[in-house]
Amino acid sequence: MSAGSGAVPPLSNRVRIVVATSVMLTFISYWRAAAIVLNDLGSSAFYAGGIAEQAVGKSAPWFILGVMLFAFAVRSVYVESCSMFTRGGVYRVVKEALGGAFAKFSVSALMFDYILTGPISGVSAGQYIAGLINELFSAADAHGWIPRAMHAMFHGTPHIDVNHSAAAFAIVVTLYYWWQNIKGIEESSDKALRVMQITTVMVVILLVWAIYTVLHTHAALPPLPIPQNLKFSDDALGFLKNTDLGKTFGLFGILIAFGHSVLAMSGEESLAQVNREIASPKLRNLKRAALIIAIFSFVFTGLGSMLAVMIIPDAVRVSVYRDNLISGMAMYMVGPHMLKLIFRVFVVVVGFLILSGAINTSIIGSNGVLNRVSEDGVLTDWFRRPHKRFGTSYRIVNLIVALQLFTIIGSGGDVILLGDAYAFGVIWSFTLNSVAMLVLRFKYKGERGWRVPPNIKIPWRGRKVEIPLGLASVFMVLFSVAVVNLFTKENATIAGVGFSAVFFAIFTVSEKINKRKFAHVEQQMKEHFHLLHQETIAREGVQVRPGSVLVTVRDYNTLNHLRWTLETTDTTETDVVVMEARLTGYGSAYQDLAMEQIFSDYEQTLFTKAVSIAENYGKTISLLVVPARDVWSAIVQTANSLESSAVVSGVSSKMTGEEQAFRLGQAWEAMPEPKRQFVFNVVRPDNTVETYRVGPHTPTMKTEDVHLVHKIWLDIKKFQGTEDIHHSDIVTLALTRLSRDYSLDKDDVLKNLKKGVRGPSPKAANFVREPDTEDTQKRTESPRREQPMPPVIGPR
Amino acid sequence: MQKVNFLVHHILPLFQYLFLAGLIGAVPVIIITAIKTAQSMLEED
Repeated sequence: MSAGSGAVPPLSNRVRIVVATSVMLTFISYWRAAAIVLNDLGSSAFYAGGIAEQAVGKSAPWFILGVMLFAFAVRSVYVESCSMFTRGGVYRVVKEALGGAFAKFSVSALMFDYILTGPISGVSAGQYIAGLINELFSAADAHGWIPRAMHAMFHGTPHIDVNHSAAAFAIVVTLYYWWQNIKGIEESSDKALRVMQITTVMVVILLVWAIYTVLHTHAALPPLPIPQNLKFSDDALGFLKNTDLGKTFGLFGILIAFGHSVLAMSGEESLAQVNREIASPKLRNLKRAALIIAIFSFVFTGLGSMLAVMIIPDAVRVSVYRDNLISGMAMYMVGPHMLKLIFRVFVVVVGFLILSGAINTSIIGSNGVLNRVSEDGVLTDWFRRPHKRFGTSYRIVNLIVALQLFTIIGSGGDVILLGDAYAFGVIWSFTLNSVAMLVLRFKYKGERGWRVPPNIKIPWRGRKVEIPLGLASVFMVLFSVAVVNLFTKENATIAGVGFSAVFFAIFTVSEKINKRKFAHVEQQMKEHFHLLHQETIAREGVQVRPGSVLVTVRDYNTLNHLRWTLETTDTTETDVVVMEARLTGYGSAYQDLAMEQIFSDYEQTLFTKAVSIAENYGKTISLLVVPARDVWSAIVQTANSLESSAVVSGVSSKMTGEEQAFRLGQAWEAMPEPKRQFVFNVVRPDNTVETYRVGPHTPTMKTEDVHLVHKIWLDIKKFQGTEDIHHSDIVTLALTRLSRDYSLDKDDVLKNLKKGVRGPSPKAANFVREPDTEDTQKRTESPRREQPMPPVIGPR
Repeated sequence: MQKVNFLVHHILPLFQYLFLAGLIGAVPVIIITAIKTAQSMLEED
């Protein structure tokens, strides 16, 4: 059969592959969602104020405050887009409204934003650290603690070059996160939440102390944001510096100043990316997250910038503290010098945490967006090919980090230069998102969970037409700022347009290559596989019996565990399901996964190899693809849905079998009821097997304990009326008593347990390892049904 | 060059009016969004 004939073999000749079209997610609360977004959005508070003041003068905080208020409106647009598209993100929205070309441009602008987030955050963190080191040198010198030799070496008080040190620091941290992402760093909302908790403590201290300082020193407010108070630097006027536009047109000056402050709201896109994972009721929780983000960023970035200008004297604010404004605030508070220095150290630690976290977010975000467009066929599979050892999309990570390192080196550690360029990506991705939403108001008139208010209805040709006043207003502001920024931000325009053009070209060429290639892959798939799309995974849909063995596969070079499973399983009695958890990052498809989004030539090779192995053993297997955000969660959810009795995996390159089992146990605990226990086998390359039981199960009892139960039972049997008492009743009574004792005096029970039992390590709380014996292997072949334990208060 | 001059002196300044109109229109967006999102905090799941 020729590849291009289009004829498809009969169904019976082809292997069925069930494709789940909904991503298996673990959902997070609105607090965690807000924390993830604020890790990106909140980090701009550390540099936005200084950058804006450098450009427009002392009135800058009013503009930052204005931008933070306007961010409410921009966020409102994102909430509407998220209520329409759960998978959200500017790419999807723009593609729906304006088509592929605009979508590719919007992604290029977004990539520019993401790629610059890393360098600006890393360099800013470096500026805070280098500034602190110089301050500590000065303080030590004032106390005479610096040796003369060091004085001679530095020709005075020792100091380090702030910009170069900041650039070096940014390079080191970027390389660190590059390696973490190559290995496949675990994205954790816990981490984001903890960073935001610490940041909140710092913000509360900062604001309370700053307000006290302002009241104590009777500090004046910054000059009002009126044209005569604007003092633009030459760089701030960009291509217009030889014209009188910025000075003579009063309102135009306000517009330019607003454009220089817009980077304070960078990070809004993260809200669309994290929306998919917000727990039910999704829209209500999204609104709650939006409110938390709004209040926090308004208070921290907006009020913080205002108080900084009020507290730090003009003489040093721009010249010394421009790049570490919050450190400057710490040093000019009212109070003892040592206390201020300690607080500055705290500010730097928090800055390091949130800003270095933003570097990681930028790599993860860019990786997610590029994977997302890759799934849509806009980037060739070459980029998405997984790392041989770690299974990550290392080529995309390499590309992102290389661009970030190039940017850091090119900037020489200058935050102003980076900030100048940064605004391009921010404003254009917002603008395209808002125009797309505006178009969709007329294109898709259906109900939305949220509509940007206000909307008025006017009668038109016998019917009522809705005019989206609010949405149009937001677009007008964003568009005018984006256009004027093209003229006033010279560096941003040159770098942004150049970068976007290169990415746009890559996307366009890739799409053409992919279309040609996919036509071939699709034909191959049609010849060998029969794809069945299902919204969710169900046992009946996959057509397997209860008690199946679920084999997880990822890399076609390491399928030894599949061979082991087929060797040890009688497939006439127990079905074998081969599952690939297709990892999808932030912004990846939530629903409507098309065939081309799921099957690249990589998946084709993986499944062809799995089928070929099964054919070698003369056994049948079922194939399953599950899109997932978290692989562990996907495995336990699938095992539960299929009523599998065993899960088989190969040994991971990143973690031990015990760690794999622990992660699986954690995912099992997080899964909602009803849930089933199962056996987890990790097959090593030498075919030895580690076996674990996931979920509550009958514990392995020591021989002496069994004898003790039996002895008690024999004793009880001596009494009359004890005919109906069994061994299990004795265990039940003992456990009930232990449960009661535990609720009365936890410490005493724990003390006795620790004294008498050397139990499993805390890590092994959710599973119990069993020795790799013939018995456990046999059990895997024919798993027995576990009887759930009676409910026991306290840890298992 | 003439075209650039025309763009800079006649077209670009028009954006300030677009900006002003947008800012005025954005005020109710900000107020209503703030109120509605705050209400979501009080709603029971």
